[in-house]
Amino acid sequence: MKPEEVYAIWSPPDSIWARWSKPVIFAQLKPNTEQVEPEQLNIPDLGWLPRVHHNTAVIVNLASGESVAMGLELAGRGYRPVPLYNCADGHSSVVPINRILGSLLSTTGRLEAMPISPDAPPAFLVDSNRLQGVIPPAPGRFDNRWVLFPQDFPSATFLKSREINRMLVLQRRATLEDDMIQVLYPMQKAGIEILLKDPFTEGSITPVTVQAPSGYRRWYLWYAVYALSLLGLRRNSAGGFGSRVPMPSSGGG
Amino acid sequence: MSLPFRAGEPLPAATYEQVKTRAVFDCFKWDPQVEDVNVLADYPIILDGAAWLKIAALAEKLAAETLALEAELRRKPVLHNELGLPRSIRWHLRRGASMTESAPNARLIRFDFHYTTDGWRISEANADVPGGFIEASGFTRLMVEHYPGFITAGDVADVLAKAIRRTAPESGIVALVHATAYTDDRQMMLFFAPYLERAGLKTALISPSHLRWREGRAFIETDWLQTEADYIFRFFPGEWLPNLPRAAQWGEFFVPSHIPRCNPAYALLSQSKRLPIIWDKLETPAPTWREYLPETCDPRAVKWSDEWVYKPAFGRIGEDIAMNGVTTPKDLQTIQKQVRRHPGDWIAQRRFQMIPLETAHGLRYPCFGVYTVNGQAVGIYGRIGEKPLITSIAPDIAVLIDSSGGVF
Repeated sequence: MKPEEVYAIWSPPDSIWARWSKPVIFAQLKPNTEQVEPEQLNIPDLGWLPRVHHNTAVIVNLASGESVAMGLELAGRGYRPVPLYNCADGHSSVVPINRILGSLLSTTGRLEAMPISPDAPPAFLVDSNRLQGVIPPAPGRFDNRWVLFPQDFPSATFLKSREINRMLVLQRRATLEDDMIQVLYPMQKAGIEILLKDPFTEGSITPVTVQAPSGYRRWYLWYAVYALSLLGLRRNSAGGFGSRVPMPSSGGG
Repeated sequence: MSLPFRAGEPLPAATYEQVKTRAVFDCFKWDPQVEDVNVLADYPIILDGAAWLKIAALAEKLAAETLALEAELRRKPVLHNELGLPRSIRWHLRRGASMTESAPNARLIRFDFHYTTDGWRISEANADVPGGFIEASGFTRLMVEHYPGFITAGDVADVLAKAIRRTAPESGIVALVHATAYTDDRQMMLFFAPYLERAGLKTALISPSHLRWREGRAFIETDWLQTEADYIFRFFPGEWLPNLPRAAQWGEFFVPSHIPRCNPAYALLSQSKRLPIIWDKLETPAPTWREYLPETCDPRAVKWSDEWVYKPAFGRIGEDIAMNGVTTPKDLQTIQKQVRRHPGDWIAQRRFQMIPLETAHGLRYPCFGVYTVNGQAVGIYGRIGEKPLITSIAPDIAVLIDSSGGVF
């Protein structure tokens, strides 16, 4: 299958959430991309998962192929998986994406066969390795670590217009990462309830209150500091810009 | 008032989806959705041929003036601290002031034109790292296939690749330097690389921290490639370079070297929106700049009012611009505080009145980003916003030329 054909199955045009699906990961599929079975998830029980009519969207924040596997589990329960992997591959990558690519490829047929409603709530798939990487960053490596932007997601207004008033984050960590806070805080401010669950442990879903990070700024200013720090760049404290940092939404102007 | 451009008919939905898919998978346009906005317009702007010739000619004059201003500024480091540049960059620029630039650099600049109640005006020049290749070259080429009778304003990626080829050695290696954490930037490098390869060059996509400098020469040092670079194409903003570790020798980007570059980082001198504030202190006349850029001054020279737009000296993609009635009140307040605290990092620019365009989706405000490559105008990066302020969520739009008036 061509990359665009695989992408079309993961982002069917009849799904209202398809347009948020990031094509970048699919664009890196090659004829010799190895299909990889996603990890076997040892989930004790999915009874805590809200039924699809309970107005809940999901963010799957698991590592590599695990996030794809969970996406398939959720698809089996009526959710629409929306891949948000915003990561380019290269030589000697700090965040290897082969497992994600291989898992997406190997499960495409399975996904296509699933009867998912066009207005099924979304399950956004992200890689929890995105911030720290898997291979330690070092001079000479291709640093493809990445962060989540609020703009990667539908706005809170759009979510609420589709009667989504809860956002459930599935992850192993007990706390939210900085970029996830930047994504969730505006949603919370708009009245969307934020929930957290480790899918690999027993117990119920926990409502959380997302604290505004100290020195909270418009997301793109925060991102400048964070993303530059990921690249081993330090925050500009030279004073030339005063308290401002470079505008980061893209390198170009 | 009649406009020298009009909106083309939107593509049928199925055709548009095909164009969008090709833009994503053939042209590396990996970011077609920004929050709730589909950023690829499903219709083009049709620009009158005479209007294209006019703004192309203006862009060429502006490019010549820009490079002349920059060359004079390079020799006068005492003026650099009025441009909002950090001390560390000013130090390196001062270091390079007495050096002669001998490398045959290619210069790429983009001038953003708007049609206003006073005719054409420019809001800014992007002289450091102008983006938009994918949209101006790739997406526009895909759209023109569906609008017979119209042509494009040229392929900037192709012209630039050939300009680089003219001064790079046969089979030379072009280092495509970018922020590797940004897929937005990586996609542009991936789009541009084949143009260079078709021109007979080799490419290496690297971060600026992968370069090591020795005696004016640049060496690529990565796990997968260790070799001397023959050319540097930089898509990493100059004002970000000081954030690199010292080992990355980032200062070398700002001084003349043996290796040709596009663009050398001293382009920040002409990238600064504060340049107009000091051009009376320069000998270089800049009549086209003075005529087509709205009055620009230090924010301390004027009172905060609706007549003025406040911009950061090194802002990009319309962020952090204060425009009464357009910017949200909360953002206006935040920006006003920043302007008061750090006026040397901002400008006040007299506001112009853009004339909106009637489209199938309602009134819209277009911006025409005209490129020059070594002073020759080629290609347009079109954007179109719901407000008279182009930001990162303003859709990209193909600009096609109506050459039927016999002006070509």
